[in-house]
Amino acid sequence: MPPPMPPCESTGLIDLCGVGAFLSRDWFTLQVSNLIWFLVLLALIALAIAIPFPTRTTDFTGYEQPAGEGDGDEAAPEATIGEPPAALVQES
Amino acid sequence: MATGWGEQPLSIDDDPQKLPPELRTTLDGRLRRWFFRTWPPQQLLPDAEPVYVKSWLYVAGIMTLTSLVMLFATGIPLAIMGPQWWMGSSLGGFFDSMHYWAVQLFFLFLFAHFISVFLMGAFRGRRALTWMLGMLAFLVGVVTALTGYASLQDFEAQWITTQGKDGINSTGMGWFFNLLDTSQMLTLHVVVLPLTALGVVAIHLLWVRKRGIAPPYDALESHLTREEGAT
Repeated sequence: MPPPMPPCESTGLIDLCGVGAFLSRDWFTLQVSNLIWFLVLLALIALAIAIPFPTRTTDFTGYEQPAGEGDGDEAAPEATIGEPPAALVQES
Repeated sequence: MATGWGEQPLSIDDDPQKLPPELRTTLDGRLRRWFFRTWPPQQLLPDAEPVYVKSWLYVAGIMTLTSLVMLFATGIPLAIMGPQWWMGSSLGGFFDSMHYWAVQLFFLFLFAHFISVFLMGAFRGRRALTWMLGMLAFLVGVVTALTGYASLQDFEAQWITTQGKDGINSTGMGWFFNLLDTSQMLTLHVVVLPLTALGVVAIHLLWVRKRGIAPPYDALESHLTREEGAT
């Protein structure tokens, strides 16, 4: 039980009764904002896993993934900015 | 002469044996050699990251950092202009709100980063110190947020500090950390803790670059080679 509050009087600039109203909420009502926060967090992580990351324009790394591996965006067309060094090109 | 990409690897000729004997062990020289030995420029600021970093999960860390930049960008005007500004003018209220939402996003992305790197086992491969520095940054962030709530100087701050002081007193820390001391809270929030957070985050990032991004559990051996440009 919250402590007994004095009669609520507010003269205008600041709503003093608002502070008193905060006390009158029950515990479960107060947790709603926490619940929303954790749901947003879970949704963020789920979306980060589900949505494919944009493929790089040019893969200089030479780490070409074999077809069928990865998240399925390997088939995206690759623009050519420059030729990768010969030492990095893997023979497949 | 300008050369093509990757044709001219950067090398620094920094051999102390080429110096006169009395200059081989200077404090600055030893510090410089240690820094560039530990963080070669291509590793400190790499051109590319391994292919397994191609996931939105890895964006949570940089979003946390972006939120931190927003916190500094909105917090500095608030600290300069003072409480009359953030409570009494619409522009001050706007900066106050931006600061508030930057905190919300900071902790949201921090938790997303924390959970994702935990599940991906980012502490493997001699990355324990990186992990601990991240946790330290998180703890500093929590105390910074608490002192921020105590610095608002409105009725919400009064409510939070009068309730929170009992919690702090129960830990035995109340003798020097007094939530009801507004000037102490404000100084901690605008000077001491932001600079501490900045330093810890900077060292955390240095160690991320030192060890590289942790490969996922199922990474292929052929994907684990260092990137060109990452040395």
